Amino acid sequence: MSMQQDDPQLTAKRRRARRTALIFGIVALAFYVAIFCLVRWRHGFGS
Amino acid sequence: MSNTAVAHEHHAEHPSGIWRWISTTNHKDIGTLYLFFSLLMFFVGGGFAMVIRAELFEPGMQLVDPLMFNEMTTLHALVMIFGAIMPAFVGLANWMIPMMIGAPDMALPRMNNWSFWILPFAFLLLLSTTLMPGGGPAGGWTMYPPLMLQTGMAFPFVIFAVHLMGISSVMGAINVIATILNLRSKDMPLMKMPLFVWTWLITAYLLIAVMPVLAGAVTMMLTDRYFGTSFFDAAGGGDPVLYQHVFWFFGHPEVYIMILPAFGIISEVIATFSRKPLFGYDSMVYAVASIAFLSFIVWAHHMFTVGMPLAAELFFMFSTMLIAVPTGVKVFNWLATMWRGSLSFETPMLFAIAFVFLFTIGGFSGVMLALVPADYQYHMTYFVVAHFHYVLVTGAAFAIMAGVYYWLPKWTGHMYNETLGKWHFWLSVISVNVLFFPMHFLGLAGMPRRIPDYPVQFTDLNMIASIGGFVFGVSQLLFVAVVILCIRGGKKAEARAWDGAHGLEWTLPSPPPYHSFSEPPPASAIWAHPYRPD
Amino acid sequence: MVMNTLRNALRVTVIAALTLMSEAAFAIDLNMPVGVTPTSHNAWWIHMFAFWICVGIGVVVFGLMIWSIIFHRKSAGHKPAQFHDSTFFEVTWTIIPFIILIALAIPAAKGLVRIYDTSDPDMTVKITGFQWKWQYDYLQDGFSYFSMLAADSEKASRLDSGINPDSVPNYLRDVDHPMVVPTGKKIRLLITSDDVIHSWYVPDFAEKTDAIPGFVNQAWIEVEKPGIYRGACTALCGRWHGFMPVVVVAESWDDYQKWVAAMKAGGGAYINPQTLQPEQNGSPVEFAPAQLNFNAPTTSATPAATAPVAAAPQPAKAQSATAPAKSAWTMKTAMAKGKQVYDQNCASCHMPDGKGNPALGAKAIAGGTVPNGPLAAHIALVLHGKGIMPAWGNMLKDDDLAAVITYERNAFGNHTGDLVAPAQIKAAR
Repeated sequence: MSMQQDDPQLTAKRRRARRTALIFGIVALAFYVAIFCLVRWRHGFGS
Repeated sequence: MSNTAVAHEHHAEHPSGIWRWISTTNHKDIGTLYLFFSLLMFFVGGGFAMVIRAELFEPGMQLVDPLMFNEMTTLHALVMIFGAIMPAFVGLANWMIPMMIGAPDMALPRMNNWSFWILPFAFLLLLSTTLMPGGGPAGGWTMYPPLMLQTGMAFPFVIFAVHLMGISSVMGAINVIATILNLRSKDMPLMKMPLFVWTWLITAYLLIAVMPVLAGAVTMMLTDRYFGTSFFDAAGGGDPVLYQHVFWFFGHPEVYIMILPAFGIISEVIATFSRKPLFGYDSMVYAVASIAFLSFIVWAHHMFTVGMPLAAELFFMFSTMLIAVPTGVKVFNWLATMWRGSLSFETPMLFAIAFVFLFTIGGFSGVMLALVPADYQYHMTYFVVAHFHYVLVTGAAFAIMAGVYYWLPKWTGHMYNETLGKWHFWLSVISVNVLFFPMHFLGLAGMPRRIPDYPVQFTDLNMIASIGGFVFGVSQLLFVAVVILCIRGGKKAEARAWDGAHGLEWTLPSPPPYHSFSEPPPASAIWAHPYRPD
Repeated sequence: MVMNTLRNALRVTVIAALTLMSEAAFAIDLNMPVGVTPTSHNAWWIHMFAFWICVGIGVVVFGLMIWSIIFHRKSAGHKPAQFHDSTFFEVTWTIIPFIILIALAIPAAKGLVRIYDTSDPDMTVKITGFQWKWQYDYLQDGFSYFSMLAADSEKASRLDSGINPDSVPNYLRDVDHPMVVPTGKKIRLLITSDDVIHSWYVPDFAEKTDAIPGFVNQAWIEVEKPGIYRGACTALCGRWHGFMPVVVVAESWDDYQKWVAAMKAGGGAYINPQTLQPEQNGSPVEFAPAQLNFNAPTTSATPAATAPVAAAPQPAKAQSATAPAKSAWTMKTAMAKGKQVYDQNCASCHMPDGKGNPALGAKAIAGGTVPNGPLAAHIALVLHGKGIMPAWGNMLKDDDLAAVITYERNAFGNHTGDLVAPAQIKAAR
């Protein structure tokens, strides 16, 4: 499946890659939430 | 540790048959899956287009009910955008990015498997809506409320399908970013990456920024219908135009998501068959980045007629026109790459040259559309249909075909049938112009988009367009034939299948080993260029 | 049907061959219409300007590419050059397009500013989109009617109707009740929708504006030549989107006046603008109190606006409320005028009794927080709108606004005692 067992250098790279992915995943979710806030704000929170 | 031994060992571990494809985490297998899926969707979406062109062949309603016609236009767009063009680029990214940057595989192989396997379910869901009471989505791919809220039972299924497509795209994009940023060969700085990798890196950022926005917009529409909110419902204090703003904030970057990787492919192909290094590499990268940035501040040019304030119209007109500058830089750089090269015209190069010609025509109509007083005439007419088909069919789709012909020898280890390829090209390029060029005239004469029937004076040009459409549709079967024949056999391809080809992928044998670069490639391989002495 | 298809196919093949020689072979002009309004002339000019610039760039770019394709071929033995960078060229082909774009942007911006100037109209027509018809509301003359696809087109357009569309005059381009406008007058259009989004488009006017539920868009036309102008709905609006044409008959001011008078006297029948005879088809004309002085009183349309409304079959109750704008601004005149403005503009959502309509999102005026709150906030809300509440500042004059705000603050059981002067509105704009 992967080369993790074979190459310690690659394992470190993959760990960093997972961190990158996590960050961007959170960013995507944040955008999703932000668009709701934006639209609610545009409406005014009242009414 | 020997490469071949490792590769063999891993090969042996892998299940065969259908389970291999379901469980695969290999970037090449997943790339292949994406590409075949996109080919299938290309024909499904094309089938919808054939229904549209058949109904529009002559005035009067002959084949389908107007509502069914609206379903066809809606599904044609959704399937072509989310099912054909985008997965094709993701497939190319999966296949090529690890090989181009000297990595063994994508950074997150298991997520990669998920990104793909969500898609067939998303499209099963989307296409199944046509069988539901009330029919499939018929409000256009832009899904504007309040019209979209009139959809029958299909409504929540369409939205769920869009969510799935969005999740798939975002996961794919995250994987691309993680791969490029972390698994790149240490001898390859960012500003030496192949242009295809650069364009995909930027595309991936765009995807992460805008796919959640689309998901948000359709979710709000969902709650409007089922949970009593009124985000977009004027009767409840909402604003239907706000949906359009949110949608196009997604939608405009989306059109660049569909064209930036195409720019990358064309840059690779033109340089290879001109036997010259790409002209103005740095400015090409900056141009792509500028286009990506500008794509976020031009969205409302899709909405010039909704009654925005004058200041907004002026702003979006100017910002839209500005996009012509970096796009022009790209065209001029491709031209300069060809200039005084040693050109040969294999099928990928033919598609790439057609791309530059026809995409530029789409760019011209794009600049004209940006001019608001004239846009009041063009807006929502066939002129717009002509414009975006020039940039998406002869743009994005032609670039994908150029890319497939270009890398097929690498993928399969065989050269494709050049004669068939050339037939495919010439039939496609002639018929596609017969199909879309008359639409400019129809639009200028005032024929609106998305109409199932038309006044009789539009008959001649619609017939011509339909004939072009049928020929174009049938010609694509040749493409399938070329691909299948190439997989099954053909002249053995060398590692560097094209004598002018430059890049790490050409240092691997054809077909490449299961894991692309088990050991980092030597720095010299990154810089080797067959037609550049330094 | 089959024969017809074959004949059409044969014809189109011949025509396709002819195209190579002449564009006159087609039933349509291949270019944008020059049209009959200042806006359409401007659009055509900008279109042609941009077109020739594109042709020029195309000749250069495609010419160089073709040159390269012909002369820099490997098969012709051309050896590849080595250059791959040139700051000079990069800067050049960034700056030159930029300058060309500025040349394009200036006339486009000027044209746009003119299009957005809806001030000083001679008359106003409200256009409402419905699935799938248009409603034309002549606000000053107090009548409105629906305009939908002509019956013969509708019949021929049914699935497998067996009727050859070629045999139907103006197939899909004809309506039962066309809109009628005078030539040479600046006509303001208020465009809105009752259900989904539509878009009102007439190519010869270069006028295309979306009709959006809950919002009122403004546009204007000034037709130079009498004639019949045909367009269509251009925003996908559901099943019969392709079947809601727009037809506008433009007539001289005198003919238009005759038509208006006949409409008012017609007892609910639509009057054909050309024959001035009543037509029996379609839905009846509806009458409402005329909106007097709807526009600036300085314009030449005022004869129409101040024409005796008694001619209307249902004498307007607003007749008694014709407060001359020049007379003293008292509570009494303001309240009378305010009631009239309210009934015509506000009552449809806020209800004649001021109780509001929660289903529409219209708040109650009676006892409402805004009409009983600070005056400045009330004026701002009416002027600029909020959410579904339209911005009336663009649609009503200062004295109308002052009157209606006074009325809202002192009717329906509200007792603020505020008398709003037109000058206050002017200051708040």
